[in-house]
Amino acid sequence: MIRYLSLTLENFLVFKGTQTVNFPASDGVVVIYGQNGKGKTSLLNAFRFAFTGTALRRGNRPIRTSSLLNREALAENGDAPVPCRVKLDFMVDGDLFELTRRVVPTPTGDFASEVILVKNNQALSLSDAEQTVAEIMPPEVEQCFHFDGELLAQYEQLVEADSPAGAQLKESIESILGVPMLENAERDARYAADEAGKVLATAAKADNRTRELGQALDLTNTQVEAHRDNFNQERDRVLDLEARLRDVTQDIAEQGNKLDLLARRDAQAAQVEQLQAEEAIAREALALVLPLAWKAALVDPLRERLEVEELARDEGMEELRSATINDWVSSSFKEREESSCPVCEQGVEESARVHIHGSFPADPGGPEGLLSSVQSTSERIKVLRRSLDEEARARLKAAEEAFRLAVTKTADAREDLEALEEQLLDASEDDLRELARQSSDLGAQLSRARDVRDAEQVKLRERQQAAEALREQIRKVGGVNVNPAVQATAELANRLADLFREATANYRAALKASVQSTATDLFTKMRTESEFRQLAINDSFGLQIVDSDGRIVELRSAGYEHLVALALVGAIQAASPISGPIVMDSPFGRLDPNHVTAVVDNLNLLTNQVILLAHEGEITSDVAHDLLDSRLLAEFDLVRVSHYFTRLVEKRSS
Amino acid sequence: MKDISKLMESVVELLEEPAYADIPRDLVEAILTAEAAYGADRGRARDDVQGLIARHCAGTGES
Repeated sequence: MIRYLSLTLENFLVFKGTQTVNFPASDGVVVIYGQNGKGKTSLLNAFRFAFTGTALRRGNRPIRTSSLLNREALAENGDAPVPCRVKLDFMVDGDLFELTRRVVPTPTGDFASEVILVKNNQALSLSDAEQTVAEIMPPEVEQCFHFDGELLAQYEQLVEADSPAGAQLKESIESILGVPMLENAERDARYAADEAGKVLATAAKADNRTRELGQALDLTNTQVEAHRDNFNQERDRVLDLEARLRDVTQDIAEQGNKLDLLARRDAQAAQVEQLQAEEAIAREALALVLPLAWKAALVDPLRERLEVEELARDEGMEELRSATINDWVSSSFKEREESSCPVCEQGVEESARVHIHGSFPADPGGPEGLLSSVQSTSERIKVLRRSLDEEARARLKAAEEAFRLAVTKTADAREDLEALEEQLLDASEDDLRELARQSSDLGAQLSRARDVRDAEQVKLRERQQAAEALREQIRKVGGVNVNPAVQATAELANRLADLFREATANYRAALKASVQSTATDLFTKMRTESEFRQLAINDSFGLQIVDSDGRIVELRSAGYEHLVALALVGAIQAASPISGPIVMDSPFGRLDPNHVTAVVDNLNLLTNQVILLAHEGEITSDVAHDLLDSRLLAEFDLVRVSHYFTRLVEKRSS
Repeated sequence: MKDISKLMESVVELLEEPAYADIPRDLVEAILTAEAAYGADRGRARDDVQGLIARHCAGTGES
């Protein structure tokens, strides 16, 4: 069981700088919210990239390694390479792993990914790291752990008989569930039998009693080899055609999306126009208040000067008050010829006379000079106050803010428009027709190639059986001068191959039963219509809904397709040789609120640790709290700072 | 890690049948382990399986 502990991103796609998400250690759900275009798919790609070294666009096309570097960080660095990495810390069955995947420049000027794996604080060699990562999360299995909810629709193709895409998915699912391991074991055991048979044929030809049998075995072995070569060639041809068809199907999907993109481009262009008009209004408003700019610019120096003058006035007033008192006491004392106190009017001694002179020294200039200075200061204060126009500054600031906001909004919208236009390059009706023709041709070629491959497999098996029969005859005649272990190898390898062949059929049957049962269990917990009783599996792992009368439900809503696909993914996970966290982008895209509730309620049935990358249109934070309660371990927001910079901000952790 | 226990279950059932009763379980497990480890490298997996069977036969001196 894999458990994620933390994910660190450095200049990876839209995540500029170094950002880390820590995942709580307990079982439950982490929700990361982000509107479209804010980096949910980039985050999904971070997990994918860490394990496989590949990041994918929607539609499973790889993103060029050089495009993984954050564009804003690159621009700030003068387009010189910046550090770009994803680090995923996780536990597997008690072992601590720190998996780092970096993007590094190559001597040819391109970029490549490089893996570093530390297990229990010990760094592994590059080859050990690559092998260990592939064992922990084989690339073919990875898609069941990190997936885009919007792409769950592809599982509908499993229901359609003879659908090339469905056949491809079936192979993929069987690969996830380990079927090829048994098939390969059969093939390799058969190869071991054939190789031992060659040694046996050579020895048999050297003996008079078995010469003819030896020659026949030799010939049969040659035929086996020829058919094996043919089979391998046809298998490779099928794989090649499948890959080409996948690309064309993807091109068609993208071209089909271009209609949608076109509509979005038009809407975006209208928005840009609207924002440009708003920007022009904001610019005019700013121009209107610009004459006030000098006043606004003087606010701070005027305020500073005012503070100085007010302080000087207050100090002057204090001095004036003291000088006035001193002057009055001094003059009154003189009027009394210094014989009595001007306040208490009692007679004073010589010592008191000295004290009065000391305490109330007469200012030679008198208070008049000070009064004049205070009046001048007060006048200046009045002038300064009249000049201080704080409102002008507020108006200018507001106009500036409005203009800056309008410019930013227009720039962002223009960038989005450019991105859409970039995607629309080379879109034409002729291209669509050509792609449709290619798809049809490739589909037909693939179908024929599969038939040829299967026919070659039958011929190979027939020749192998003929070789087995000849080996058995040689063994019965006896006397062949060959190491007994070689004969034993041929016989045992052949029986092992038969064993693996039968086991493959049994395993497939058991898998289908298990997937059907688990998927039905998940589906019935998530569905709201009780008349939908169960799911029925076909040979391609396609799941169909069966109603309470035992009839297949032919027309399924988009929401129900989504539920069935989720049930299938959960069931495949349960049957897979690997278990671990699920990271799901756009998990509830096609579900109504009732089904969102039902799915969220049963998320823990899918696996122990679930990370949802959702926009608030799918599920709000309040709803997530209500539904998940203590199972909601943490929430993060994807906050867009700019077109190429998204920040991960934690909302809450418990 | 790829867990071969589910695959082994389907094989072990068959090993109880008379036709396969003499096939050693250890050998089957070793072959599937090799396939799990080197499945992507077909040449290596094939050589490993061939070697495992040959060594088993040489080791037991079967004739």
